Amino acid sequence: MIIKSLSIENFQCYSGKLEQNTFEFRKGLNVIIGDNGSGKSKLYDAFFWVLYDKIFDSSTRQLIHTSEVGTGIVSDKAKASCEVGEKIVAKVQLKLYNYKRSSSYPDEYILERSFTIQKINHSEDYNDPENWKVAANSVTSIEKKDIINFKPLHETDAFNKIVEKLIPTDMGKYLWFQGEQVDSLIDFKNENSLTYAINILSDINYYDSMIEVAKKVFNQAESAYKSELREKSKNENEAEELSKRQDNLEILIERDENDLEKVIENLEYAENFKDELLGKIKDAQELERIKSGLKSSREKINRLNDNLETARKGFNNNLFSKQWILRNAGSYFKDFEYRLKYYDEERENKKVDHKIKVQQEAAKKNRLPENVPNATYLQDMIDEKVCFLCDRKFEENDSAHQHLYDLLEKTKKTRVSISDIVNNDFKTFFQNLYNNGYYLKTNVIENVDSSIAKELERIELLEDKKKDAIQEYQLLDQRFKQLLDISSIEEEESKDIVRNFNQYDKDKGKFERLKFEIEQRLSSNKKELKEILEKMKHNIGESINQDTVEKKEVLETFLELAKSTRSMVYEEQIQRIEEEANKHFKKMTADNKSVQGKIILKKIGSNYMPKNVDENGIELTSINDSNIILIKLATIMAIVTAKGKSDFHPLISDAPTSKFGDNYTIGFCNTIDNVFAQSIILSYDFYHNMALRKRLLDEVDNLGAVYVIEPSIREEDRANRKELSTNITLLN
Amino acid sequence: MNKNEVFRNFLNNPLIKNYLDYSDKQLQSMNLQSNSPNRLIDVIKTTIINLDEEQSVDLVARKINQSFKRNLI
Amino acid sequence: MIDLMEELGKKTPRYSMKYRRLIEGFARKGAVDYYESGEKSYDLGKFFTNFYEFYLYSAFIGLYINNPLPFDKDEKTNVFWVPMRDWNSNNSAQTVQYLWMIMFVKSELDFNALEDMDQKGVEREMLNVSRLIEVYANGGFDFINSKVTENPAFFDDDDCFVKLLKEVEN
Repeated sequence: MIIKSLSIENFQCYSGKLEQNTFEFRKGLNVIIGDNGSGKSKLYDAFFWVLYDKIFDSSTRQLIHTSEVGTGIVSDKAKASCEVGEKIVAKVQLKLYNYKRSSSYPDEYILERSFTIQKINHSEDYNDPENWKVAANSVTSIEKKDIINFKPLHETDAFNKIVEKLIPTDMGKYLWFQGEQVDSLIDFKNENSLTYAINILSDINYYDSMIEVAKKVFNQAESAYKSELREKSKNENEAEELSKRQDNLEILIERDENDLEKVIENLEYAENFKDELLGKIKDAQELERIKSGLKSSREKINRLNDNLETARKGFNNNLFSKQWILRNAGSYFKDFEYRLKYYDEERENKKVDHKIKVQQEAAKKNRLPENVPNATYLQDMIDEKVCFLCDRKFEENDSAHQHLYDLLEKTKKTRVSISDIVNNDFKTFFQNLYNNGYYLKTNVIENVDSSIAKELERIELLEDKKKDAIQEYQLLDQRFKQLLDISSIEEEESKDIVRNFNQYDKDKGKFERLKFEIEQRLSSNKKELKEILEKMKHNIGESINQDTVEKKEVLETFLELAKSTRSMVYEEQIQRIEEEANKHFKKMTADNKSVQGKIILKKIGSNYMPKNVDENGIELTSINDSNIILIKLATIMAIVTAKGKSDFHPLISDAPTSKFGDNYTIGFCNTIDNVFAQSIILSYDFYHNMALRKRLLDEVDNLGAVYVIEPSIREEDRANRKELSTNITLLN
Repeated sequence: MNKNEVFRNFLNNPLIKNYLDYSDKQLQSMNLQSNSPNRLIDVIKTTIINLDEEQSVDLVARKINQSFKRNLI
Repeated sequence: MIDLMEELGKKTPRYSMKYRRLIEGFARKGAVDYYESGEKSYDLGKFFTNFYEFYLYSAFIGLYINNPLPFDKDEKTNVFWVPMRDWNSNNSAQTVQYLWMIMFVKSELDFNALEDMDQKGVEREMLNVSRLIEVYANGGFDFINSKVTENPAFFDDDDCFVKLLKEVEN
């Protein structure tokens, strides 16, 4: 069944006629977006009221009947503007399509509920019940389309029958719920919660009844057997005692068995808690690892940044430190070289000229006497201590030696120094300039372009390294956020975890000791009981009626079988729910890459707790708040889909995604629209968050109608509700 | 609740093989309408049928006790 | 005898006041101050460590575009308080000497004649060398200034002055 439209007239904050307050719904996911206090919950009330004649009272947090609500049902604006004697009708109308397999044309129904009040007095307080004559009850009407026209249905209870068809009572709470109820709808810690669901899928109550029957008949058969044993015993006294002892033992055994069950349950809880802690520790360690990875990644980026800054800003300095400025100045060196050569030649020429001149003058001045050999021979003669002319030998310090020595000195005076030919000897200066130029020309200027290219390359390399480092950081950051999302660790929790771990280890030891004690006791008591029964058998005079024995045995088997079969069936249903829930859960978390593995419902004690495990059943991460809600929602959906009913009934929910992050919200929407033929969600999430709203409109496959509702008066100005109406806008 | 389904679930319980010596084929062929070859199966059938007719637990228990008296095999 | 190194080294070539803004825009005055304060000059967003570095750069640019631009008559000029012998930030002393080398080429000064001059003559010629540096620097400033006016975005990049260097190759 599909809801075609909902129309409201003068009901709570929806003042005005039916046509003014109509929501047309389609198949798929319909969304009504509104801010808090904008009329969302009143819309939810409208749905509820038209079907069940009750609305939700937020102060008492209970559903109350129309007759108790009275004038509160009607819109303030209508009440304020009503004249004395006038009547106001508050109405909600629901149009339905019922698709049948036999035809492609659905049956169409119009359901309407109205409530009438009449003003009898006027006063400022339009809400004063004294001023109004109020109908005792609301009135319903139902019409069905007969080819073209709608005709009223007169069968008794036609209205309620259609309501039941739309939202079957047993499944009601899973088809129609407020987001805040999700937690209690599926309380994994409460056995009854799951059992209720399983009952919808399989009538487990039936099996429970069978167990009751089996218990009863077995107990009867057993006491009959015991009585017979007693009656037919040879020794009455002994039989009496044995019987008493037997009864006592049976009581002890029963008590111990109950206690044992509890201890085992406690152990399972302790183990489970420990496992959860282990899971948290694993997560906490991983988070720490990533944190330190982030830190060193950050440091790396900073280092690279500094290096880049230095390189870029210092780039210009290379004009001087690497002499890049001389790039175009190579040719001038040759010119200088040329000039220097010329300069050197000129100097040499000058030197030579001067030398000749000086020599000539000196020759004139210092003319050696005839017969005196040339200056060049003078040195030789001094060295060999012999006169080449007269062949006379002489000694050092000889007068002849001295004479030759003096002559030699005179000739020396004809050597030319540079200071004789120039005023300033700038040779060193120019030579230095030349050497400097030569060095720069050959070693630097030729290589400037490649030096520039190298430096640019170096900078580019740094930039690439920086880009890589940033990417690395972003990946780590994303992983960190995703892990934080799915794990149940609060950042500060890590210290408590280890402490709690030790506590539970201690508890576990305690329970295990207790378990051992009880098991020992049970074993010895059972043994004793067996012996007593044997004794009693042997005490029999006549034989025991075989029928009695057989009956007891058959019924004992029957009881065991009944209990076992019930467990089997229950377990099967749990599996069914688990499988379906997993399908939904997977789809809802498709966008979060950190969510892996699957959800299983693990039996702990008498409850089934959801766990996130891999293919080998090893627990992955522990489950946190937003995940548990997801799992619960998935479970609710699973119950409906396992029963195969998602095509036949719409889902109506108020704020189911309020605890979710954006990705999960979209995931949820994408899942719902595929699971249910029609769903209607009232949501606050899409009101302010425009990006999310866009995603809703773009990414959800089977999107039905999307409405935005806005009150005509803002919440803050609501003291005066006389003008309050609701604006309804269709977005698509 | 589908009583045939309930009956089937009981027969499919592997525990039943501990007490009865029927082959799978034989078990498959049994249903609520056929004769009970065995006391245990008879008790199961009686319980299912009577609960289905919305009898109280006490009444069903009594019916079972009666069936034993009558020695139905 | 005159030490030419010293004679040239003590010179403080002039710049036209109309480029004062330009110089301050691209260079940090007095590298020494800033190193002492611990800040690196390029942190302050300027290209050249100090004024004379920019001057040196402009002189080469003026040379490369072959635009020796004498000062106008009565043009207001100013000098840096650092003489050329101390132009050594970022190892620029060698570059300064290379510039001197080029100036000797450009001035067509007869080296031999120089050696024959008296003290006053040499001093005069060295002053001319310094003056020659000034006109090339002035030409360089003029070129850079025009570029700033017509395409200021060019100077947004860190490597603009190196790019400019490549542009004026001819």
